[in-house]
Amino acid sequence: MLSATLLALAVFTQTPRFQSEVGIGFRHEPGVETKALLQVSVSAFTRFGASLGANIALSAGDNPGIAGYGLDGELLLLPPVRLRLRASTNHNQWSSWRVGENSVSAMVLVAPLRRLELGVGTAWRVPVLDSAAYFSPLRWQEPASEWSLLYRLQWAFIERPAMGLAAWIANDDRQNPATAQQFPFGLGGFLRIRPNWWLKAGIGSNIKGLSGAIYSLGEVNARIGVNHVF
Amino acid sequence: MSSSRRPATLSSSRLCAVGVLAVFLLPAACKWNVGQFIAHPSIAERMTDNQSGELSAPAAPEVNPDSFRFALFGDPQIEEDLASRLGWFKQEVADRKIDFFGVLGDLTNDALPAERDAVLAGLAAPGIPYYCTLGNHELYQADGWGWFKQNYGPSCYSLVVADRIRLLFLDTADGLLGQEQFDWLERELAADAGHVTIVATHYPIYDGVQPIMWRLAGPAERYKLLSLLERYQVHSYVSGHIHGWRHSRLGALNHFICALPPGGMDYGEPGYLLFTWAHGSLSWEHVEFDSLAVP
Repeated sequence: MLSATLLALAVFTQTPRFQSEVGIGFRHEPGVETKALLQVSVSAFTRFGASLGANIALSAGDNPGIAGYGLDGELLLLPPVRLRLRASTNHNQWSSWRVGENSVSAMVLVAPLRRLELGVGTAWRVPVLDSAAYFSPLRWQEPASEWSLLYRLQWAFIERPAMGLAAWIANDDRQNPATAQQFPFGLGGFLRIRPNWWLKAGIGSNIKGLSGAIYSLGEVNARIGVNHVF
Repeated sequence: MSSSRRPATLSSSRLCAVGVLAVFLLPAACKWNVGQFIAHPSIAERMTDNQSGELSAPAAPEVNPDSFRFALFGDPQIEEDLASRLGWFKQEVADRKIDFFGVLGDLTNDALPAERDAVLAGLAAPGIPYYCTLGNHELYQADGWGWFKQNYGPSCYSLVVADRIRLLFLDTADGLLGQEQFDWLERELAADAGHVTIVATHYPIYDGVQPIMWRLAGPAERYKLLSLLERYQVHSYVSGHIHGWRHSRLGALNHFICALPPGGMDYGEPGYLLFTWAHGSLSWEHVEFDSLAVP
């Protein structure tokens, strides 16, 4: 699927500039699931600041197999403040529970300061509770569908050409979409290991129980991967 | 002549001082013990207590096995003024011959002694067996969990009524189930002997399309729970937390939010959910609060 997407992106964007990323991750939500993830994504960029990408995640441990896949696009509207419009559609699934979720989202992101990124948006989430069709990315009219508000607040402590480190509060992770009841936060960084090659890593958690003001740490997420621009 | 007076604005140091004062004074003015927001006994600790054998599960009510009625509602949430709709509910118990009832957390608003005394008296007043589980408001005082288990026993337990209905009370006071409770729930569901099963707890799984947060926290947790409820053909999931009335059909599952708070509702009418077992099947209706019928 990724190679076909790569070819399609090359045709439609008329540019040979691509970025690919391969990473492994770990997710532990007590009582819910513990799994390792293999995540692969490719993106193509145009000279006008637009990008198109595809991603897939496979899991081992709880809910083995395909964890999710999706498409996303981004359009740079105002370069001086990096004002961008991002849209994506995703399918996530949990094979052991035979439950899926299809979602479509849109976000506006902006960097009013060099180190600060802010984003806000919305997502329409459609759980597929039908155990005979949980794997379908085409089910969009299901009970228990709901809107989610998306947000991102990210501050870069270190921002150099060869390395960066940022803290974030955000619920827009496409493979681990959060609801308003959770408060996700974490740290992420990158390090240039060779020209056009980057090592990326991140760790995050979230606070649950916001509506009741009885707070608990909800989960642990960790990722490490390699990013290549060619 | 120009004036040398500075404009009347707050300096940044004054703003900081006001902010620091607010941080310390607001919690002091609050009736809740805000330290409990973080330092409350965790669901793992509460499940350890629940499964320790030291808290005996409430005894099942004695009912006519061919025909009985029970009520479920959440959030009586008695506040400092001690107002509640439990007086009306007491009259309903008598009028509709309800055999027993369950209360799905948030018994009081602030967990203060006077509120606790009032809810104990208000729930005992109908004179029939009743069963409770824990809500987030019970944990707003340091002795909240201790008070609850002393008066009501465990917050997570199973109740089989007349070998027909099985009620599974879950503790979702902090908006999650946790490992131990998920394991307990799966064991209970798997060990079923053909009863009609109802899950009763504080937090809803689903609360309409709006992006609000009065529901169980994580999507994965909600999906795992829904998957279990579907696999074991659970009849109903009844909850409170948000002060509303809503019935949703999630596959074969009836999902209810049913609150009976003393004040206004977020949506819907206050009331209780009345289940009737008769002629070998279970039916339900939402009985709305009637202000004219208050004794």
